[in-house]
Amino acid sequence: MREITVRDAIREAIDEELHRDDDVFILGEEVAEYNGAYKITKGMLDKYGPRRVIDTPIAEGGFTGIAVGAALTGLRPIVEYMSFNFSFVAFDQIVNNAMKMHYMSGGRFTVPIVFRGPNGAAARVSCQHSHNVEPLYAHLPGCIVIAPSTPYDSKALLKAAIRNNNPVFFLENEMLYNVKGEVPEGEYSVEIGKAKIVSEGTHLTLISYSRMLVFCSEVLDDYKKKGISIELIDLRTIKPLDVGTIVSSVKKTGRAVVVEEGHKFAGVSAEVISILQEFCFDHLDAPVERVCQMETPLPYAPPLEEETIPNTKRIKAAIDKTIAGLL
Amino acid sequence: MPIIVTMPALSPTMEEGVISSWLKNEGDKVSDGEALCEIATDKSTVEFQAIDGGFLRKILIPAAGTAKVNAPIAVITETEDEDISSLSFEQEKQEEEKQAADAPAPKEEEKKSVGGSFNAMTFSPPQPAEKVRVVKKSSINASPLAKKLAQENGLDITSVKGSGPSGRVIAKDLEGAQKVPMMGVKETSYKYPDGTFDEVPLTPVRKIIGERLQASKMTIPHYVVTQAVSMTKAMELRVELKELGIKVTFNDFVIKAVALALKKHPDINMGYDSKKNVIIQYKTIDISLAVSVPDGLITPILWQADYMSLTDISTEAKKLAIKAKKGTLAPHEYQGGSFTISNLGMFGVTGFQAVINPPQAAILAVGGIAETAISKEGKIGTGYIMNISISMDHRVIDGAEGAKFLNTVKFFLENPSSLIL
Repeated sequence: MREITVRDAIREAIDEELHRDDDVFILGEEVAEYNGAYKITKGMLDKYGPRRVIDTPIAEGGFTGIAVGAALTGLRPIVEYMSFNFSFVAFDQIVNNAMKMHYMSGGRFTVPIVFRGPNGAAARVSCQHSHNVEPLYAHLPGCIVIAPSTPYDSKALLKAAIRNNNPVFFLENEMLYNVKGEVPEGEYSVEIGKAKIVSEGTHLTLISYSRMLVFCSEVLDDYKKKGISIELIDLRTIKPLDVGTIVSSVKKTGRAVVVEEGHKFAGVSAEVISILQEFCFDHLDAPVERVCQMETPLPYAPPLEEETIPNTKRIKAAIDKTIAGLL
Repeated sequence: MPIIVTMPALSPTMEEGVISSWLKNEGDKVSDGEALCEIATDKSTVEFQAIDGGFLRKILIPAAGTAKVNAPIAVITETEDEDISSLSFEQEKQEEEKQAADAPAPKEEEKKSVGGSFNAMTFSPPQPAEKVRVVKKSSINASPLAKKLAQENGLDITSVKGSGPSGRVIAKDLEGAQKVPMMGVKETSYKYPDGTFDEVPLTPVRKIIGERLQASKMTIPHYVVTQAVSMTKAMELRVELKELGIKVTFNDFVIKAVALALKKHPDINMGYDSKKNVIIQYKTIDISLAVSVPDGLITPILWQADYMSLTDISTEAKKLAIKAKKGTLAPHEYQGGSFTISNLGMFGVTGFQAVINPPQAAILAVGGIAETAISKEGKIGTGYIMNISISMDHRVIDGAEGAKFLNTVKFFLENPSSLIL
C-alpha cells in the first residue's frame, strides 16, 4: 500500500470533501494565498477558488462566528486555526454558539462545522502556543473531539468529521505532520468514537492518543523482551470515548497506564481512569497510573520542555510501577 | 365583583414582602397598569401596578406592613360604591387558630404528673435500621482483582505475601495461597439491620418479678455492706464430712451460718409493712432461698432454719430446689420468709448486690469462692475467700447493725465447727 504523510492525508481528506460536496468550504488565516501555514491547503485556492477557500483576517472570534452562521444556513465550514491556541480568542463563539445552537433551537438548527489545526506542543513554541485543548472542549456537551495519530486515521476521521452534523474538533499535531503511514487509495472509513487496539497484549493496557501514541509504541519492544505483553490502545476519538474497548481490554489485563500530552489535572486521562474504576474495579490488579504534562506552563528551554511533556522514560517508570510483582 | 389584590411573588426566592408605601388612597380611581404601591422584597423595592382598573376600596396591609406572597393586600372594585362588606380576610388567621385548636392537648394525667409525687420515666428502644449493613471486612492489602479471585476460588489472601505495587497481593501471588477452610460460608453482610429486636410479652412470672423488684428497688432505701470471708476451714470441713459420707454444699454452710447469726441478731430478722407503715419483727427465722427457674426465680422457704441441723438444711434445701425447678412448689412453700439468701457462687462471680425481697428488710448476696493471695502478719500466703454482701432496708436496719450481723456470719463460716454443733 502507498505511504503518505499525515499532512497529505489531511489534505486529501479536505480536497476530496471539497470536491464531493459544494457546501463544504474552508476558511482561516493564510489558508488560500499562502497555501496554509502548514501547507495543508496547498493548491486548494487554485482548484476551488476564493468562494470556497477563504483567507480571513487575524480575527478568530470573527471568522469562527461567520463559520457558525454559515453552518446554521446549511453550509459545512472547515475552520482552520493556525494553532488551536488561537481558538481561545473564539472561545465564546465555539462554546456558546457552535456547541449550543442545536440544543438552544430545540433541534431546529444543526451546526455541521469542523474546527481543525495543530494542537499541543510542537518544538520550542513555549507555553502560550503549546496547549492541549482536548479536555477543555471535551468537557462541554455538544461536540465531538478527535485526535488521531496516523495518516490512515487522520484521513478517514477528518472525512467523517466533515460529514458529521455536529461541531467536531479535529486535533492535529505539528510533530506528526511528516509522519508517514499506509493510506489506501480511494474511499475507506473509520467510525468516529471507536478506539483502535494497536497491538494486543495480556499484562497491561497502555492507553494514549495523538503524538503520545508514538512514544508509547516505542516502549513496547523493551517490555516484550522482558516477557511483559502490553496492549496498546489508540483512543483516536476523545469524545465520545470508546468505553467498551478500553474496559474490555483492562478487564483482560487488570492493569492500565494512560498517557496524555496535556496537563494532569482534570485531563483526558483523569476521565479514562475514572471510567476504569467505575467499570473495572474488581478486575484491577494494580492502581492505574497516568503520565501527563507536568503541572507547569510548558517551558521554552529544550531540556525542560522534554522533561515536562511525557517521554518514554516517564512512561516506562509508570509501567514499571504498575507491573510490580509480575517480573 | 370585587378584585382581591394579592402580594405578588417578585422574585423566585421571595416569601413575603413589605408595603413600603401606598401610592393610592382608599377610594382613589386606579387605571390598569397604574402603580398601586411600592413593595420591598429581600432584594429590592419595586412599584406594583394594578392589573385591572377600578377603585381602590380597601387597603388590607397598611404601609410598612408585611404580607406573605399571595396574601390579600387590597380590594379593588369596578364601581365606586360596590358593596364589599361581605368580604372576609380573616381566613388565614382563622386557619392558624384552627390548627392550634387541633393540636393534641396535653392529657389530663400528664398535666397532673408534672410536679407530682413520682412519675417514672418510660423507655423504648429506637426503631432498628432499615437495611442490613454489609459486614466491614478487615482491610487487606490486595488488589481488587486478587480479592475477587480469592473469593471466587476460596483462597485465603492473608496466607500469601504481596509482591505488587505498595506490597499489595496481586492475582499472581494467589498461586501459592491456601484454601479458606470453609469455602462459601463467609457472610458478606450482617443477619439483621442494626438495632433489630423482638418484643417478648411478659409471662405472669416475669410480670410479678418485675413489679415486686421494681417497687423494691424504687421505694426501699437500699444500702449494701460487704465482707470477705475466709472459706479455707469450711473447705477442709466439707472434705472431712464427705469422707464421713455426709454431703453438704457451701450454700448449706451459709444458710446455717445465717440462721445462727439471725438468732444472735434479731434486729436483722425484720421487715417493713409499707401498707401500714410499721416495722415487722419476725419471731421465727424463716430463710428464703433464691432459686433460679426457667424464665424467672422463686424463693422457697426453710421455715425456722435455726432449729435445723446442717444436714437437715442440706436435705431440705435440695428438696425445695428440685421442687422449684419442677414448678411443683405449693404456695406455703414459697410465700413468706423473714430473710433471703441469694447465691451466685456456682458461677464463680466475685460478688454482687441483691435487691431486697419485700417485705423483708435484708437479703444476703453470696459470691464464689476463689483462691487468693492473703496477707497475714506481714507474710503472703494463699487461702480461699468468699465475698458476701448484705442489702438492707435503711428504714428498718442501720449500718452498724448490718455490719455486726455480717461479722457474725463471717465468724460462723470461718469457724465452721460451730455449724455442726
